[in-house]
Amino acid sequence: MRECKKCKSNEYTNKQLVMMINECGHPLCKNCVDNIFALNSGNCHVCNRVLRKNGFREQIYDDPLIDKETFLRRKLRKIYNLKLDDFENLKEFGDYQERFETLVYNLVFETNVNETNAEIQAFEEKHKEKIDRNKRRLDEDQKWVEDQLRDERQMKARINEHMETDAKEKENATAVTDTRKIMDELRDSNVAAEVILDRERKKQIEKELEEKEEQEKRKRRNKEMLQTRKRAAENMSFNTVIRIAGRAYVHQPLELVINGPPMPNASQIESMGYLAHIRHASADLIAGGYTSALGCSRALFEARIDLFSF
Amino acid sequence: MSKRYETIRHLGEGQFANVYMAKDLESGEVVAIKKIKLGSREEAKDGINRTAIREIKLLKEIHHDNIITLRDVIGHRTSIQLVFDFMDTDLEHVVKDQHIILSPAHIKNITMQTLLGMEFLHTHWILHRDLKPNNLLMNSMGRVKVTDFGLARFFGSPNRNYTHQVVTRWYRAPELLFGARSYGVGIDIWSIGCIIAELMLRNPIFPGDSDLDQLVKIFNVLGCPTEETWPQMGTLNSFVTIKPNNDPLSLSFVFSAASPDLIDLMAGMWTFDPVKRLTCTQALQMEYFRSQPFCCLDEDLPLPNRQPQKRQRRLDEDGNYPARRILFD
Amino acid sequence: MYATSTQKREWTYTPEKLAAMRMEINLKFREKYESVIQPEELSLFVTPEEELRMQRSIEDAALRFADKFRPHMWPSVKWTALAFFKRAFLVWVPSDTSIRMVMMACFYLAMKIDEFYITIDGFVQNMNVGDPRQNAERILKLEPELMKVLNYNLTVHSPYRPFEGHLMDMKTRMLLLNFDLESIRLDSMSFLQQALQTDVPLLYPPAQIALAAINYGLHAQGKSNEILREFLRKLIGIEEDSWDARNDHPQDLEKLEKTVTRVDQIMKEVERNFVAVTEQERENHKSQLFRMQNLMKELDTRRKAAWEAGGRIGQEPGLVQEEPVDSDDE
Repeated sequence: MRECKKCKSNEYTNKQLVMMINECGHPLCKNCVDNIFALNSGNCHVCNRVLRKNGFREQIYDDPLIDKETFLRRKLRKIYNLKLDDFENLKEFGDYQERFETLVYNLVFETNVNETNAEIQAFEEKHKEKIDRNKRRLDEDQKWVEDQLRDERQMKARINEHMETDAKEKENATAVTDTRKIMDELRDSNVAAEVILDRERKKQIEKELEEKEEQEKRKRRNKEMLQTRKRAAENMSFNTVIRIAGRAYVHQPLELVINGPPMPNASQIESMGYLAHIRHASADLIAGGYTSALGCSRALFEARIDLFSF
Repeated sequence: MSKRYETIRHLGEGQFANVYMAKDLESGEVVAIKKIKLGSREEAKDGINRTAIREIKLLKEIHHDNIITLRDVIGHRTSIQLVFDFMDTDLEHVVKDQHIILSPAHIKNITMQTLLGMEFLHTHWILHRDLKPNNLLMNSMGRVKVTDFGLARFFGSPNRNYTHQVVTRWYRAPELLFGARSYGVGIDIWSIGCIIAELMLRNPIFPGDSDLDQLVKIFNVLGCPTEETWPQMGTLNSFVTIKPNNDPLSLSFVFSAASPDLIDLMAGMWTFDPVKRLTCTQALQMEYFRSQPFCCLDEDLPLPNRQPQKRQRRLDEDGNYPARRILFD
Repeated sequence: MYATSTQKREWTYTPEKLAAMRMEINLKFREKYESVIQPEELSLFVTPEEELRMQRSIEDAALRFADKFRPHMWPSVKWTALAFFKRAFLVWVPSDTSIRMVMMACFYLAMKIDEFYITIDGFVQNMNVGDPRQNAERILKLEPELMKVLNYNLTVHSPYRPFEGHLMDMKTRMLLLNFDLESIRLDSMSFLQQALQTDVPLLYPPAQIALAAINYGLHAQGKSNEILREFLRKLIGIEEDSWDARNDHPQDLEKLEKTVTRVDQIMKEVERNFVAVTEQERENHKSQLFRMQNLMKELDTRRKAAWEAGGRIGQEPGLVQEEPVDSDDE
């Protein structure tokens, strides 16, 4: 579940939540971006760096660090786009790749940024020709992928065409047979023409009614689904935990949004004298784990929830 | 099942409900449907089972990644169907499966997920009162969810007395064994401690076969509480003095593979005085979660190979059904 | 908690919305029987306002039932039961149900919800009309139907705990008050009792209703709104009427003002809409419901006859179509 640190809206209070991320890697929801960067430039709400509004892109991964890394990697790859055959041997290519990784790491975790940028610039100038040439060259793999995609698209188009023509033919056929049948009947039978036509008309009406009903049912079902999804989105209590594997977990205690006056904490409950006004818990209650502060806490909490909901 | 859900197979039978695996035809997802029979032989006298009502009343209000989601409730002339997320297995099966190895990173992940779910519950003033490996479900993505709210209730009311016959005996806190009529989040924390121990030992750590024996087993490991460590414990309803068989064992001796910070965590969860016992929030802030080895990815949690068998009703060592049958609250 | 509860999301309305909902179900009910009703019987189909008065009649009787109930019923059980009752009759129509039994079922369900333990036999012993076994049967039959019409939203947040919370806050923070706050308790409780007989539980958050009860109690002891304002200032953390407060924390002042306005609003709502049910009204409603029930049986027979005569097109009136669930049902 994603949450915007600035406005505290999350995927459940705002179903259309879109998280954006810029070059410093601190995510912000689209609404906040529009608000804070209305004049196209502003400061990051975490690191205060000056950012541009169009530097924001949609955050794909839950871990903002990953987005930051993929962005930097892509950017850097445009410069470090040398291929195996630009090098004398495999070892040199390997060293080049390793160096690339180190550079990416530096930029992501913001160590030795100046030196890294300097090195990148130097590299770019030194290998300018090779870089430009590689830009235009699509290597083997990419060519193959493009061919496959093209083939797939063509095949899909062909299949669609077939299906459409089939469906159309079928429709025409039944329509034709139907009208022919009716005409035959009109000509051959003894029943009055009006009766036949009337009957056909009734059938048509029934069919239309059925179709309408189907449509209604479908609409109703869709509406229900939307409603249930909306309800599910709205009823999450506020909680966002970012659990990242492979890293130390620093816990933020769960804080519920009270929408009321501030709640005294445990020590305040004692120091301010609340406990004088609640029934004192007897020894056996305390031994069991129930203190009068507990009862007090719950009453104070419930007295505050949504007190300021207007 | 009603048109929206298509039954796949029967998963098991509980006290008052049958559980089926089904497919939600609208979303394509797999769900678990708990079908509570109305007018069934058991406890029909008083109408809809209170356990079912508790589950519905609480689960409809709370939503969290680590708590089972009640997706839908369908009323029918002969039954009420509760539709839950489908969860592939539970921790009891994971623990009992000899082919599974639980690494420290796995244990940390499971502990963290459980504590996060319980922190949420406790913050909303709800006690679970029946935590055990069987009630911690896990799906194929490694998400752990707390389930079975049949004994859960709101707490924090000064005037209410609760029953002390809650929680399956092996996971029951000492204040409950001493008959406390008022208690707090400590009872859930104690259960979580027992669950962590079981993840490590792969066997329940305190398998008592009576209330008294349960206390004996606890004290044999943790030593006896004293007036200093647990003030006023003598005032509890069914308090008895028990002489331990031996000196308290050091936890690092019992859990030879555990890191010191995990030992600290468990010691905190097994503090005798419930007021001094760790809360979920405090537990999550312990050094254990900040240090190596770090939590693993959810997807890396091991799943048992075989399909979970038809759920047997777990009998106590006595051959009695677990205490949850007795409800006077 | 209330803020994320189904109570707030699904069962809290504005007065206008309530009126519209009641009108809608009233009209639908009439439409159902339009084709088979005789003109002289039309008078039995009452307006939404009359139906609301009938509900109030039952609520009034219910509160007396609650007071006499043994073992002693907790106030939150009362509130929960009446909340269920009010919610149910935004979907059901009083004339279409046996409204007294619904009220009893609401109480029984509320007791289960609130962990107030009682067996069905213990419950029906408190009912002084009807045969206990029949009563028990009817209540148990209504239980699942009631849960369904409530959409299985069974947790109700009542204002009693918030009331205790506010009272504690006041006692703790307003030390200069030379006045025993406990003296407002009786009046505040009677305010809540009156509020239970209006739409207030469907309109406002319990913390606000509780605050209104406090203010009502204070007024009853001759105090003015000044105590309320002082209290809120202390809660929010505003320094007494300083210029700084006005400039630095305008949102805080706004909250204060809005809260006071809301409290006044709730008190007025109860004052205006709590109209005690008279003995005459009670009699009228009783006979009205009785005649209605008989008429309903007659009308349903007529509808079924009309359906059969018309060639059994469409669904049989009164029949609830249900799919068999699975093999257990056979």
